[in-house]
Amino acid sequence: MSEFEWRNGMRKVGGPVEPGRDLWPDIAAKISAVPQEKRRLRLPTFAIAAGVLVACGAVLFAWQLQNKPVPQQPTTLAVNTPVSKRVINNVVENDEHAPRKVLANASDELNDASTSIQQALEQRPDAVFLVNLLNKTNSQRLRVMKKSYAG
Amino acid sequence: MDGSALRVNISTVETPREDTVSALVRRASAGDTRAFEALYRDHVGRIYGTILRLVAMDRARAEELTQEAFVRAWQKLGSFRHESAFSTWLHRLSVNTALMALRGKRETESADEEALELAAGGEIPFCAAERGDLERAVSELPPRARAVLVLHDVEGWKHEEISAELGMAVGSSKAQLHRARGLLRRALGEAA
Repeated sequence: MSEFEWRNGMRKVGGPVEPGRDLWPDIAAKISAVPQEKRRLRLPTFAIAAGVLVACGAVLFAWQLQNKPVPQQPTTLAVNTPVSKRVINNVVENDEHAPRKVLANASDELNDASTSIQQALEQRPDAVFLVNLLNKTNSQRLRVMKKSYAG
Repeated sequence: MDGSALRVNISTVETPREDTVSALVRRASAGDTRAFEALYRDHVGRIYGTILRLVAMDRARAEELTQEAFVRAWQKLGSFRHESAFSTWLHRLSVNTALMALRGKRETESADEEALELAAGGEIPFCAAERGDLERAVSELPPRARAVLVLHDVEGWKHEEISAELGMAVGSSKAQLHRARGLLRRALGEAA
């Protein structure tokens, strides 16, 4: 089957569909109880991008944390994200509690990242990629939390 | 609200021009619920249809999420900047609402994708498949593959848009689409 035939077939599935009942009365009742958010000063795009970058860094670091044992001796880790560097700089050399501290710091970073993404979503509720990023960040938070309890 | 007022509102938005929509959005942003109702009536079919396909034709769930999407749109109208079409903004917001719900559901139910793939069985050739058969087959696809298939093949999004919005590589989007089409063909009785 050609691409054209396939798309033609799929058109059968598309198009508007009317709901089985009028949803407006329920919506009207809900919006009468929910105030509209006033227009706020927009976060500059770079602020949203920074939040996303922080989240990406934290997610990357947490992923690395799950896949690499944290060394007890000082060593150079091939990690280039600002978040990861900041977290690792907080680790005291030869500290027997270092892994726990790294996990705690990673958890803090992920919490901050999650908050940043939620704030960005408030500004851009139509940005689907932020939802996906938030979901990934929350999954990583959960994993780090589990690892903390296990360790 | 009396019926005559409702009829007037509906008739004014049957074939809305962009300037009409823009005026309605501005009035709704200022708290005019009549204007928002007109926007709702103009867009509900497309929004409900998209959400319905994303939630595997679960009508009750789609109605609930459609309500949620419009309530969110009402709350967030202040953030709409009139730089893009209102319909595009609303559509994205609705897809966002549905994807958030899908993610939550997947975490709580821990759906087994392999089981879902096996469930996508059937013997109807694609070319002869009726809309109901197609909808059923699409609804039985694994959630992520279904989302990519619906957004690409039904809603007309490009892989670049899907990859940006769903946070996946373009290659992953293409791979998911290929997988979804293969499963759909199998479900409809055509060899992949």
